[in-house]
Amino acid sequence: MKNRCRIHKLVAVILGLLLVAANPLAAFSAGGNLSGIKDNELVLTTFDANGNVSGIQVLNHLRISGEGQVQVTDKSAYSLTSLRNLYGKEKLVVQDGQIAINTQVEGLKDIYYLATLDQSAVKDMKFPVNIDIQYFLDGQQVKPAELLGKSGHLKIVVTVENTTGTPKVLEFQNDQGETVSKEAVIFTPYVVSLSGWKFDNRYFDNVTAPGVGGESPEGVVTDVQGVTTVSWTIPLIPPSYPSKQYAVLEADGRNIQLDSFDIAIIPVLPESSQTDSLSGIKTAFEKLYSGFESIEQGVGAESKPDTLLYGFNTLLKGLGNERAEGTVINGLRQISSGIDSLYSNLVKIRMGIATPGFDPATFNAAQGKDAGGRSPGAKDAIDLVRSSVDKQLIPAVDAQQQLVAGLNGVIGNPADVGQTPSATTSLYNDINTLKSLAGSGPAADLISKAIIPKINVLSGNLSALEKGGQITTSAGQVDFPASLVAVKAGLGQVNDSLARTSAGLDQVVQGLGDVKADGTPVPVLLEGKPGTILFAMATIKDGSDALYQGVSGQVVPGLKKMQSGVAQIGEGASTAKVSLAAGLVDLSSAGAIKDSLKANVEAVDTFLGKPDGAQGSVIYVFRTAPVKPAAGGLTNGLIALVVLLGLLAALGRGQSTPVKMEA
Amino acid sequence: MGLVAAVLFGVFIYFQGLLGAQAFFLAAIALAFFVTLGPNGEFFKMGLSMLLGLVIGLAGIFVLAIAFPLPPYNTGYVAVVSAVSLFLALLLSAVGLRLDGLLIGWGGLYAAVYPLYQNDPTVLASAGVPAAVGAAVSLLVGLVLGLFILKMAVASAAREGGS
Repeated sequence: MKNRCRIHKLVAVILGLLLVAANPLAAFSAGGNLSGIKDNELVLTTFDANGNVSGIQVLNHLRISGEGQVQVTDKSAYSLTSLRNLYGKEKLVVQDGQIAINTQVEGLKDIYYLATLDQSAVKDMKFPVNIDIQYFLDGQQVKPAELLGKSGHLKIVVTVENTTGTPKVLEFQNDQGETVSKEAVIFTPYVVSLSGWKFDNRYFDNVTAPGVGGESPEGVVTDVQGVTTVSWTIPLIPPSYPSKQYAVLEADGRNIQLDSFDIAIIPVLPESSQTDSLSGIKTAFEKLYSGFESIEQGVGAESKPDTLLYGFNTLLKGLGNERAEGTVINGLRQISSGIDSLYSNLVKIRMGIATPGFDPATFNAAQGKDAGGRSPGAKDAIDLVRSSVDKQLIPAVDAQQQLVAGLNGVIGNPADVGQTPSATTSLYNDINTLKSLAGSGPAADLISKAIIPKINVLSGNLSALEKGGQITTSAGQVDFPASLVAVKAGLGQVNDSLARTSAGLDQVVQGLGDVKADGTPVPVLLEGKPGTILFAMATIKDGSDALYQGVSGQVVPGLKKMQSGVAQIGEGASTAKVSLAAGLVDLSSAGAIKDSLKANVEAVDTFLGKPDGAQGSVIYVFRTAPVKPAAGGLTNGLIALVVLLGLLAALGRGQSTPVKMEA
Repeated sequence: MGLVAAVLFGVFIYFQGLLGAQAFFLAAIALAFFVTLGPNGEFFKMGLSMLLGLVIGLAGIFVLAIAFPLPPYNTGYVAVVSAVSLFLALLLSAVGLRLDGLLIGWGGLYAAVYPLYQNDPTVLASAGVPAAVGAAVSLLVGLVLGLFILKMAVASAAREGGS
């Protein structure tokens, strides 16, 4: 019976060993057909309790397609300290950076192996995404191990930075179908997943994961069955997202213990279900660009006809300046100058016609001025002449007429005779009396032939002097126009003429207007308009000056400012157009950028290395060390074991057992 | 007596976390088995046998984890290694150890540690030995409780009738 039992056990052991040995033997059978390999890597980087990288392992999944016995040669870019086939029996042989695997394939074969990198490689390892984890307790930065058992406000900041950006020249077609080149920094897109960070509610309260726009995404916090779970998804995909971001966790902790946290870094360009607003933005940009282009064309340039700047330039040239012949400002300057001259001369005329304040009563003819020192104007002079004629010349003529009339009375008529000569008888009466007394003889002849004719001439000439006619001269009878009557009449006419001239000058003075002592016109308004020429001229003069000053001093500078402003508008429109064009190029380049990102993602297919021709993928996982007390149960359990064994040794030894079996 | 056993067992359960004896139920199993040893049973040898069985089982699982393909598609290797380790445990009975103790120790270890191996073999590195110690404590507690109960039962019977 015992022998049979032993034989059965031996057979079982041998069968079991055969089971173990059967498959490895099969692996060395004849060669087969290899149709494809997929190499999926998970790079696990672990941090120690101080936050330093303690090790890197690569879990490699090879999916081999084919039939029969095949040999796959994987590659290892790093020195390995261990290599283990996790789920299969195939032997992995490492030599010269290559991992040789012989396996039997029937359609598909999965091989998982775990490679542990040598510490020398771990030390200087550069990852495509930098991870920096900082722990703070009550605002003070601490190492994770220092958190154990502490209480306070916990803050964990995980900073992730995509370091894969490299300059690249993109070529793409713009909206006009032209090929455009643009240099841009293209990254390999990575999405960082901080998923399932668990915080035991016994140790943590007020767990939050706040975000900051453009810098830090907000985490999703869920509290289920006493455990608060926090997850973040951080796309490190420039230009849509910043290449460097951070996640923040804050919580109030007591007797802190932390589980291990995983940070997965996945090279992926995720498709979004977000509604595509890019086309709408692009259309708006194009319209905006068109608008700015119209503004730019409307503003134009000084040398470009039918544009604002050209118009301003022409206008300013037309306005010109004081020295530019044929320009508005020069013309206005001439007009202003002419009006000034005209006004000045009119003032002179006005002052020449009638001196303001002239007092004829105090006029001193010898000095030619009145008591106030004012010289008379033309009208003043005329009035002075008129006054002289009225008051001096005409009375003088009247007196002369009286004198001549008296002399004529003294001479009398040739027919006067018969009165006894006396002081009051006429000369003719006396001569005729003398003649008749002389009778005949020489005396009578002398009287008749010499004295009486002379008296007749004297009487005739006096009569002509008084009333006009002919006078007797040595040359005979001649007309005598300067009789006293004629002179008086002439003086009357002169006076009348002077009066009319004075009245006319009065009209002129009134038309020109009164002038103040300083030569400025007295303002006179009629129905709201200037009532005198000088006031009107002063107004025109001021207006022309103001027009000139306004055009040269305000209109031209204003136009120049407008021109400058319009030029700035043009430049702004041009700048905006350039920016919009760049924006449109950016929008147009979105497709090229996306293609580049996709290409970069597809290029990230291995970390450790992959078999030639294999389709690869790689995911990086960073794992923090748990912050928990050491397994105290082990020590306590060992102590308990010793105690229990002691008890058993003391109380349960030396007794025979009722049941005893032997093998 | 039953109340005393229940209280002692309750105290053990209460402190099972402190002892790392998550498989505390093993104590009940051990208790049930060890009571069958009777008042004259070799409890100390049973304890040593159980511990050795447990060590052999643990070694088997470690060998499985280190040297063979990992779960889930490794049933054949589990079968072979388990069979070999069990065979070794049975062989040890030839040197005077109790076979039942070896088997309980081996089985208790598998009950406590194999789920860890099945779920995540990497956990064994940190949790394998503590789980084995916990299982050992559970088994020894059951054994000690059984011993106490038997001792008390014998003492009580002696007081009542001298039999």
